[in-house]
Amino acid sequence: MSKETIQWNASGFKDLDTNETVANACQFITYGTSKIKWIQDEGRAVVEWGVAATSGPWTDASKNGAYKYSFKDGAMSGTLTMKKDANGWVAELILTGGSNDIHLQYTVSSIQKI
Amino acid sequence: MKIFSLLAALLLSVSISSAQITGSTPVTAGQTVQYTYVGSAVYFYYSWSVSPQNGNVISDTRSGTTYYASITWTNSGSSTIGFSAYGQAPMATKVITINCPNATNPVATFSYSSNTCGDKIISYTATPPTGISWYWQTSSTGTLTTNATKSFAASTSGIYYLRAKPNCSSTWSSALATANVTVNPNVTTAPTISGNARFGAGTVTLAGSGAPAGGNYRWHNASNVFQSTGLTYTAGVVSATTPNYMFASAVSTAGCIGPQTAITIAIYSDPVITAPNTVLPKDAQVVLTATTGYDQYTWRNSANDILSISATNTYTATMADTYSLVVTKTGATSLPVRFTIVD
Repeated sequence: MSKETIQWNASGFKDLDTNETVANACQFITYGTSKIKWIQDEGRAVVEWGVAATSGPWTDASKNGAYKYSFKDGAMSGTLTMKKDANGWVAELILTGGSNDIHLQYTVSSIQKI
Repeated sequence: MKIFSLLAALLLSVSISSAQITGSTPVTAGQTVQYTYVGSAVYFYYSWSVSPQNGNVISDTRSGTTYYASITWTNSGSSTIGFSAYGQAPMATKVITINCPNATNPVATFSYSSNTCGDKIISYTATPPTGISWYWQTSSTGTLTTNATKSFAASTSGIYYLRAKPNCSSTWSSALATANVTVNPNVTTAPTISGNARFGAGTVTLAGSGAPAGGNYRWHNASNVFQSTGLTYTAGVVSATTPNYMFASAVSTAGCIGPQTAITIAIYSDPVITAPNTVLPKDAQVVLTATTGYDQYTWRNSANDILSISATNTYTATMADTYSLVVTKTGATSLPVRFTIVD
């Protein structure tokens, strides 16, 4: 996890602030421990964050485990937690300090190493 | 926790979407309307714009990929609202027509403060329609825009009016008249008291001045217990100067009572005349000297002719006679004091 580049394909998310479930595909690409790319709207909304810190370990994404990326962007700070349990992969994105706080739980349908 | 170098987020792309902003148009100035942008992505930096600024975004929220803005329209005209993400050009826009509301007449029930004296407070509880303000006027055709509060302090008697005007136009409604209110002004000045000084022990008759036309004075004793109402008040025998001997206040014809004046009764001693001798030297003179401390000295001869009126306490006598002196101080006048010089 700390070295590989992995694309996490999400089919939708639940907005944990409003409990709204949204079918909205997106991808996260984690570049080892260096950066994260968040791709939405079929590539029309893409942002990239440099990773400030990580916590793990989770060496094999095909097995149960979790890995957390932390990052900052000016007043905004956030975490992206990738985890897998018996129900499958989940990506939890928390962003604070932006226009609105964001607390989303993505259902990750598949992953692939790049 | 491993710490890596901090890198700021990098916006790689954000594109104009086919999504539209939905919400009412036309609207009326004063209305608050919610507009919605159903996007295809979650943006952590976004904004709504109104241009030209005929309205203000008073709140914005997001749920999922749907963004909401509540906009209060303030001015008539046309504005374009836009939704932007990450400081980029608007991804969607919508043109809004803002109409000015009609100047509907105020509908309100007035209430009046119960005070007898001072400003009457006229008030109402109704709320003007959105986009319209109700302004207090002193005439039915007034166009002042200085007072749009729900209460008004009437400082003079008469009828007051409420008129409506849309905030986005200069069209005025008809006037809604109040009752004819009676305002009795407060008495704000403490009275001036005279007659509060005399020579020697005795009674004093106090007189007030400074009350409003037709007004009167209320007299209170040293314990501030009301004694009587009248233009004058005759106190008992006073033998020594006494601060706070009484208190007085002016009262208007409407019964409005003003602040009090504390009255000091001043009791003065008669003057004493001295001279170097009582015999007039040939071709010479004798200087009569009275005690000091009085406002005015009036010297007379035995025929009661006035010889001198001045603020100085001496008189130079050049002939034998019986001289008399009357002094005054703070309005009080002494009895004559005599001094005789012989040849």
